Amino acid sequence: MKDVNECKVVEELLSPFFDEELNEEADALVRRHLDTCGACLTKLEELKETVSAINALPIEATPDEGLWTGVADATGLDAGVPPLHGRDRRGFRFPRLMQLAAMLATLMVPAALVVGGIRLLSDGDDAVDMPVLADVEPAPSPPAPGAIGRPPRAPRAPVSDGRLEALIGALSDSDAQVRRTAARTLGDMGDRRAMQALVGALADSDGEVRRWAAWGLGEIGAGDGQVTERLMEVLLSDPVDEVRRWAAWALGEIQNDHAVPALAAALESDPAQEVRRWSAWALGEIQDERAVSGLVTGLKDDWYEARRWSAWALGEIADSRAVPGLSEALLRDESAEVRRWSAWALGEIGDPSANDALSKALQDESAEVRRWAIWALGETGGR
Amino acid sequence: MESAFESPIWDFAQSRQRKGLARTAVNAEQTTTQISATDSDEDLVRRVQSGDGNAFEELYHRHVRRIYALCLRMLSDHRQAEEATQDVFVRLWESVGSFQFRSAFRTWLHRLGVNVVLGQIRTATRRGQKTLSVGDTEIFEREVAEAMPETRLDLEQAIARLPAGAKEVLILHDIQGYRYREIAELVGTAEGTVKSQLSRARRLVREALAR
Repeated sequence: MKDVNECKVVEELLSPFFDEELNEEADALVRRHLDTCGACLTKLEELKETVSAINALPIEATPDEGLWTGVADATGLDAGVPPLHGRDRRGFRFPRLMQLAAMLATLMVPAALVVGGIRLLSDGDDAVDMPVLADVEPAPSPPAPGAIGRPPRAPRAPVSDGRLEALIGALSDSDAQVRRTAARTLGDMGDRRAMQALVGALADSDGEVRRWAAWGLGEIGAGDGQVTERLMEVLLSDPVDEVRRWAAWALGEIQNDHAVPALAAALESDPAQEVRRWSAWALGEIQDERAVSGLVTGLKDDWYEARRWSAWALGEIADSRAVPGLSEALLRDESAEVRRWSAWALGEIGDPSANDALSKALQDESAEVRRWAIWALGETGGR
Repeated sequence: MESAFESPIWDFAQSRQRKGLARTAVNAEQTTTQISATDSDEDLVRRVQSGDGNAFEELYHRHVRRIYALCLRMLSDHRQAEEATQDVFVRLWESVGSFQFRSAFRTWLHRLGVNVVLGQIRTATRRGQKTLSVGDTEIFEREVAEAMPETRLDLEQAIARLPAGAKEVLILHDIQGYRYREIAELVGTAEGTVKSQLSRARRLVREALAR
C-alpha cells in the first residue's frame, strides 16, 4: 500500500531531484519511491513538462532603439548619432511614446550584423552630421560582405561512434523531452553523420523536436538535395510557426539554391512574420538572382523587420533589377531602419539609376539614413 | 542545471561572425580603430579598458538583448527594464577596469546585470511597489509581445505573477541557467530557501497554465 506521508515528502523533493540537486540519501529515497508510486511519477512528468516549457522561452528581447543613446549619454560617450533634441538628452529615460517607435525601428539585429558599416568622424562640434567619406571604406576583414561561399566552421570536438549512435537512438524514444534533447545535442555536435537522423526527426509528432531538428540541420550547414527538399517541405507545410522559421534559417545556412522558390513563397505568404523575416535572410545568404522579385515584394511586407531583411538580402544579391523597389522603400517606408538598409543595399548594387532617390534621401529626417545615402552615392558614383 | 536551452538565435549571430562582417569605427579620442565582428568580447574589453568608446558600443550591441530580456522578465515592466538595462551598461563602463579576465566576460556581465536588477527589485519592494498589478496585465502582455514576438504569453504571464522571491529564483534557474548555490549567493539567501522557492514557483506556474 502506498505510503501517503512518503508521497508528501517526495513531492517536496521532486523539483530538486529533477535538477540533480539532492544529496545521495534523498536522491535514493526519491528513486525508490518513484519505482512504485505512479502518482508521484506523473507529478514528475508534469514538472518536466513545465520546466521544459520555461527552458524554451527566448532569452533575448529587443529594447527600444533609443536605449544606446541613453547609455552613451549617461557614460559621456558620443553615441555617434546626433540627438534630435540635444538639450533634452541628459537624463534620457525612454518615454512611453518610444514603445510605439520601437515597433517601427527597433534594432533587432545582433551587433555582428552591422554590415560593412560606417562610423563617421566628427570634429566634436555641431558639424557631427558631416561624415568624412574617406573613412567609409569597409574594414578589411576577410571575407568581405557579399562574398560567395561558406567559410569553414569552427572545429568541434570529435564525436565517438557510440555516443552518436546512442543519441540517434534517443530520437526514437517514447518521451518527447528525451527526443528534443537528443535533437538539440546532435545539432550542437554539428556532425554530418547525424544528418539523416535529423531529417527523420523533421517528421516527429512533437513540434519542439522538429524545431530542434531543423536547427540541427542548419548547424551542420551542409547536405544533399534530400535535406534541402525536406526542409523546403517543412518550410511550406509544417503547422508550427517556430518549425517553419528554423527551417528557413537552416536553408539559409545550407545555401542550396534549389530552396529559392520555396523561400520566396514563404516570404510572400507565410502567416508568421518571423518565418517571412528568416526567409528573407536565407535568400540573402543564398544570393541567387531568382530571388530578386520575391524580395522586392518583401519590401512591402506588413512587418518592418521582414522589409528590412528583404532590403538587406537585395543588397547581398546586388542585382540592378531591385533598384526601383529599393528606391521606393528608401523614400517612402515609414521605418527609418528600412530606409537605412535600402540606402545600404542601393550602395551595394552601385547602379547610378539610384542616384535620384539617394539624393532625395539626403533630406531624410533620420541622420542615419542621410549618412548611408551619402555613402551609397559614393558607391554609385553619384556625387 | 546547464543553460541548455539557449536560443539557436545565438548561433545565427555566430554564423555572421564567421562570415567576418566588420565595421569601421572611431573611438572616443577620434582615433580610427577597426571593430570586427570576429573580435572576441575579451579583445573588446581590453580596448574599452584603454578608453575605446567604440569597442564599448560593440559590446553593448552584442549583449543588450540578453540583458534586456533578463530585466524585462524580472521587473515585468518595459520602462523599468530599460532603465535597469541602461544602468547595467553604465555600471559596466564604470567598473570594466576591475575586470581581470578570470572568467568569461559574458558571464561576468550577466552577473552584473543580475545584481543591478535584484537591487532595483529590492528598492521597489521597499517602496511597496508590486512587480505586476492586475491592471498592468494587458500592458505587460503587449510589451512582452513587442520585445519577444516568439514567446509564449501565457507562460510569461504566469511567471510575471509569481510572488517576489519565487519569481526571481525561477527566472535565474530555469531561464538563465544558474545553479542553486549561485542563486543563493546572488540573492543573499540560503540554498534551502532557493530550493523551496523554486519548487513552489514551478508548482504555481503549472497551476496557472492548467487553469
